[in-house]
Amino acid sequence: MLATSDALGSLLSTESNHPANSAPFGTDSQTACFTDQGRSSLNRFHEAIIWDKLDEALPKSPLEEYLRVVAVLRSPVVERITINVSDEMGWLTENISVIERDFRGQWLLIVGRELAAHDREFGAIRRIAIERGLEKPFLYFVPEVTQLDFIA
Amino acid sequence: MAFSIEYDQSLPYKQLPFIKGNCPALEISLRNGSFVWRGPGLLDSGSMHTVLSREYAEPLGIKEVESGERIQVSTFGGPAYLYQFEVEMSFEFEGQSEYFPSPVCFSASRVGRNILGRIAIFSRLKLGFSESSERLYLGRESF
Repeated sequence: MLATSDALGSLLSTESNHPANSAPFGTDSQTACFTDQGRSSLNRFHEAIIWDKLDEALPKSPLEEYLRVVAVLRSPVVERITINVSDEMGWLTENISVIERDFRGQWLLIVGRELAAHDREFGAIRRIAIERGLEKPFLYFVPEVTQLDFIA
Repeated sequence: MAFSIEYDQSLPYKQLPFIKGNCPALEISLRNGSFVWRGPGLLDSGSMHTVLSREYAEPLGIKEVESGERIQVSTFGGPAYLYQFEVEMSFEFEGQSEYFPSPVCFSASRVGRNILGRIAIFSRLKLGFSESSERLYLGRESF
């Protein structure tokens, strides 16, 4: 086992991947122009790296592990693009009350933002879909009754 | 050490007829030969299989649900049987969609909802569920 001073020396001489290793202390040209105050900051920065490395090396307590998980869960989710929901899906979700009231036990053929056909027999719906040349018909069967809460 | 997860797309939970509350629904397309069906399913990490209510066999050209491979599954209601068929599935991601082989099961009974389980779809998408904001996050896993 290394003595603490050796371990710290080893850590200091090791390149860190810590994100803070980049600006403002990332390059020699940047560190060369530090004032006394800057050097003090640099020492604190190195100290932080050492503690980070020690922290990584030491076994985690259950509390630390819990806090780590909490931090992960609280980390921001980067949102880039919202999916454009299809017109058919949009119509379905915007007309729930009408669907539940009028179309129980029926097949719905939704084309764009309108209900193109509805029927209890799927064959009738299929014929219309073929007549209209729909390659990927959006079809929804409306259940007869309200679903109970479910687990799978 | 904390880490962040990046997703490529997101969409709000959707309400579907006769299902309580908004839910993580995803529009998929299934193809079985010349038969194609497009509609919503519920993403469910608690289900191994993708299971459609048996009504949806007809749009896929399947006349006898019970002719599929019989699979016994465990449920809280006791053992149940599903009937599995090899079809193709697609979903739109980043403006693109392509079919991939996918086993799909039908329930013996009418369950009134379509479940998108872990087999097939979960291995192709990185999924995040935010119940508090009722939002579904999707990232590319592998295609």
